[in-house]
Amino acid sequence: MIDKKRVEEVAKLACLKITKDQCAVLEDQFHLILEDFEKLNQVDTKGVAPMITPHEEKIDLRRDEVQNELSVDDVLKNAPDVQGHLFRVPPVV
Amino acid sequence: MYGDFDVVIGLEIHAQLQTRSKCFSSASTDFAKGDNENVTPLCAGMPGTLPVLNAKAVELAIQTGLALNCEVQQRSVFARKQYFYPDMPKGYQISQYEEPICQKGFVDFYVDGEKRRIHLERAHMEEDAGKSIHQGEHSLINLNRAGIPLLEIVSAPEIKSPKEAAAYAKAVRQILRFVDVCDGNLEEGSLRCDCNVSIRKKGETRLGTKVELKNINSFRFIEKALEYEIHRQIHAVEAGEKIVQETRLYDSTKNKTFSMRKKEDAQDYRYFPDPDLLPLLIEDDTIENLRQSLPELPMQRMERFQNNYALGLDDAELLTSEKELADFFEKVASESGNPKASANWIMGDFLREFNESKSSFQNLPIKEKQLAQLIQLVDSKTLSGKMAKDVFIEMWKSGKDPQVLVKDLGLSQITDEGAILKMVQDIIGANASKVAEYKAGKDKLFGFFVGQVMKASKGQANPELVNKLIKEELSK
Amino acid sequence: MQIHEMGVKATVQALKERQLSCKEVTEHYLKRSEKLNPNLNAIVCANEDVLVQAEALDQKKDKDGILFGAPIAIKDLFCTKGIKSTACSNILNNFVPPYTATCVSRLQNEGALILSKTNMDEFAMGSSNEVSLFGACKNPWDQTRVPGGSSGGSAAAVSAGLAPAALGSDTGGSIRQPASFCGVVGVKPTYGSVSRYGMIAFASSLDQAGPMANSVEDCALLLEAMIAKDSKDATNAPRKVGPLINLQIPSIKGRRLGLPKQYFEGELSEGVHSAIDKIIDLLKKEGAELVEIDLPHTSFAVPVYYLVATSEASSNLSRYDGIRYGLRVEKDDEGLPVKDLHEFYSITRSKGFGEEVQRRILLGTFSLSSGYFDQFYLKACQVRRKIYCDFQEAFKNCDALLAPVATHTAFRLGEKISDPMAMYYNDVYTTAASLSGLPAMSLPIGLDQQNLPIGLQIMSPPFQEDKMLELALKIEELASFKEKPNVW
Repeated sequence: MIDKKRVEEVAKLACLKITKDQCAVLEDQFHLILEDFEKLNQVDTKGVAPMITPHEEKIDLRRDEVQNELSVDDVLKNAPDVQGHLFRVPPVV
Repeated sequence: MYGDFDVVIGLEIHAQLQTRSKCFSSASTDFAKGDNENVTPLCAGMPGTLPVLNAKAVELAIQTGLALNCEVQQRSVFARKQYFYPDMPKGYQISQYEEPICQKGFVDFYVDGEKRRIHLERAHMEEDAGKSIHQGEHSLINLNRAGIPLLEIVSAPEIKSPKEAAAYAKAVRQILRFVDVCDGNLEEGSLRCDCNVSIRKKGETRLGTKVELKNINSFRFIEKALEYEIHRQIHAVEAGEKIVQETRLYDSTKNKTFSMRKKEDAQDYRYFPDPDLLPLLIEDDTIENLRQSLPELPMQRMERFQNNYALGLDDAELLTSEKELADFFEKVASESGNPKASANWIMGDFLREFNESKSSFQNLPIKEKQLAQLIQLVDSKTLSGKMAKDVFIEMWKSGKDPQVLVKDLGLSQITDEGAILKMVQDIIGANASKVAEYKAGKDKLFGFFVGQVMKASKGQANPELVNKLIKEELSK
Repeated sequence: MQIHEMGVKATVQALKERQLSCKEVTEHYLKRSEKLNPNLNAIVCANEDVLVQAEALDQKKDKDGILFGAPIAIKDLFCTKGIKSTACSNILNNFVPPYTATCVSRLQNEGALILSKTNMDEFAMGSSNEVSLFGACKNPWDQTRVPGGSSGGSAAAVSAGLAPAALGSDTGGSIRQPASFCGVVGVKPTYGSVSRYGMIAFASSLDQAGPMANSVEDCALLLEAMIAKDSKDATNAPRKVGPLINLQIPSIKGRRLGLPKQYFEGELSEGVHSAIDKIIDLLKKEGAELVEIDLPHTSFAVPVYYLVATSEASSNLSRYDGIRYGLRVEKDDEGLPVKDLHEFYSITRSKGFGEEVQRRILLGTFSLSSGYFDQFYLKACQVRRKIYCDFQEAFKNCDALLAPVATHTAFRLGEKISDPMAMYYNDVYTTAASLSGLPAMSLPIGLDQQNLPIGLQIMSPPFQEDKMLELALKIEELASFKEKPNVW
């Protein structure tokens, strides 16, 4: 079910950098955890609707009104790197 | 059309829903704002912030779905589409996956005078990403667009040619504009179109490997990009190559498509229902009320124009290409009482001036009533056709009423038979040699006499009377 | 009586009657922190302005608000405008939010002051408060032991008298278990009753903010302020629960109280079991009817919880990418600049998140990934409904459920840290109520032989916090738990 390759693939999907050693430890731990979690298969869930959230009431909608919650300064205040009023990041392509 | 090959095309059209605030936050959608000025903590993906759905976006999505003949769903679910990208501040896009707001549907339109119907698979709501500006050493991120509501309209893979694809896209845009849910501006990106295209040998029932084309920002380019891509695929297959599933970008300056990413690097988006948003439940009454509020749609309107105003298909199509144009036409037609002339005026002089001056219906220099009056002046023979055209240009320039201009320019038509006869006789008297040539069989000279009389009357003589009287006088 | 022995209600009363000033009260708690916190490590960040704010309150003519002048410690999971809010994670080590969590503003609206931010397991992912950017928090009853987690700092602060009350958050037991380990009262309200806006998300369908204090009455007071409809949280329900101030100790004659049998089997320690038995006897003497309840899917709660919580967490934590706020790392371990965007993300996130957080992100990413979704995430959501239905059935037969909070009392620092499975099964008694969105609380009822506090869990039907708290008042009276840690 889970092997080193899968752990590496998942790490790539999650954008996490893991070392070879970490990968080996994680593989063992996931193996144990998932083996335990397989006991869910004992439960017959045929036709049971998945429960995503505990209170399944109607969603609240918002009126289409504009509110200025933040100034540009506040938007950018915590940013590690900016240029003008834009966030700056390493090259995308 | 493509030798041994059939073409299969499907379109994904992303329409920006015209709301004041974003899909899940109260940030403004105003395009004119400075960098990152339309950003709330949610738009910046700040910790602990939560999405709250904009009721107007839902309303517009339902209206669009109804206009596209979709089945609007009483229950739909927002899901997270997960991937990392700098212009995606939460690391996921809120979209709809297994349970979209609109299912099925179809769009009718004409291609080369023939009616076509393309079916829709679905239309779902989602939020837009921000904008990345690439600058070599760095990329810069503007989040003003992040979170703007979109409706993604997905056609069935049943479009058969690039021309049909462009016509379908135009028809969808026309509907969106009629319902007033999206301004349909491809250049500014409020309407975006991705094309899936594959080819297969004639008679083959399985679909070929599809290629997705992105970055197409005009209807003309839809056609050109698809045309290029189909030929690229045919050449590849004929050369024994295999088509790979990939996303390609269209470069309009080179008229070429080039590979952006292959299927194997495609992301596992890990869609799952967004636990921050409960299912969207829509009551039947709401759907019915919105159905009642829909305006007449372009196809119905076009057919009504053909029937009610005895217009040909092409004319009706042109006059219903934009809702405002169709509204304008109907007002002029009803005020003037002459639909045929109204159609001709609008399709001719009006659209010429309109396009040349890059006008919009919000700031038209002339009113429907004024054009109707001009048409009535012609119908009552106060103005000749030629004079009316001159008046029209003056109206466009000055915004004045036609009656005022007729007076100002001293333009009213001479319909007094005696007065015209006097002018005709004078012209004939002064041109004895031409009269002789005419009588000797040079029929073409008839136009010369008409021209002279019109000139003498400063163009005001009623042309029909001029014709009639010249004929009578010359045959004496 | 010293100020920290008064509790919230009496303090507010004294402030309104001008027997005390807000400044005095605040200074008292700051002094205690100064003395005790270096060892306990319950508080990770002070509100620099709190004394100024206290003085401003003292100047006010109208002493309004049910929490007037009460200085409250806030778990560092809650965003507080202008005050660093880190979730005890390196990835948010410098984040100063430009907004305040709704439930914190509600406390402020009732006159409360933000005293300090408290320690916690990074992103609320833990049951021991050992994995924190600021280091482990210690249990005031025995500083070689954990305070529980993830709201360990809030529990320890209240238990040691560093604050009269604190805000915690509970995803799978993160209020109840530390409350139990530290001998304080902690309430996890019904899912959807307190706004989640501004509370840094761990698992959206489970996270709930709740109060921690030294008495049921004080918890009720905070909860009264916190429960209200918030238009910024679409999962927030309109207030359904009745008023929570001036709750009276009820008669429990004839009340049916459930004892879920699965919670008294297996690993439950003798000390915890007998403490609960003692309470059961007292309740019976008062005329309550104790009934055995079957919750057949109990043993699946931990796997369901960890699949649901990690799946949601893997998604909720995707926003930490070093672009708009938080930690950014642009060089690899050899000091070379990152070669592409993926490496930029991966290095930033791996340096920013601790080991347990990364483990959970990976587990959740796996459970949502193509080919595994149905078997793990979806299956878990289906079994979640089974667990929920067990409770629905149960509440047809009783008004509330009584159970242990944890199998044992506080364990030693480092005892379980290297064994994720052992740590996960700490939550065996608390996750089912979380999955079902039920209100649940922990109430101290006694000490075990090692002098460590034992908590009793009360679980109620949704939106019946008032009834749950009334019952808790009764049990509080019966248990008459007056012990305090030495540092008190």
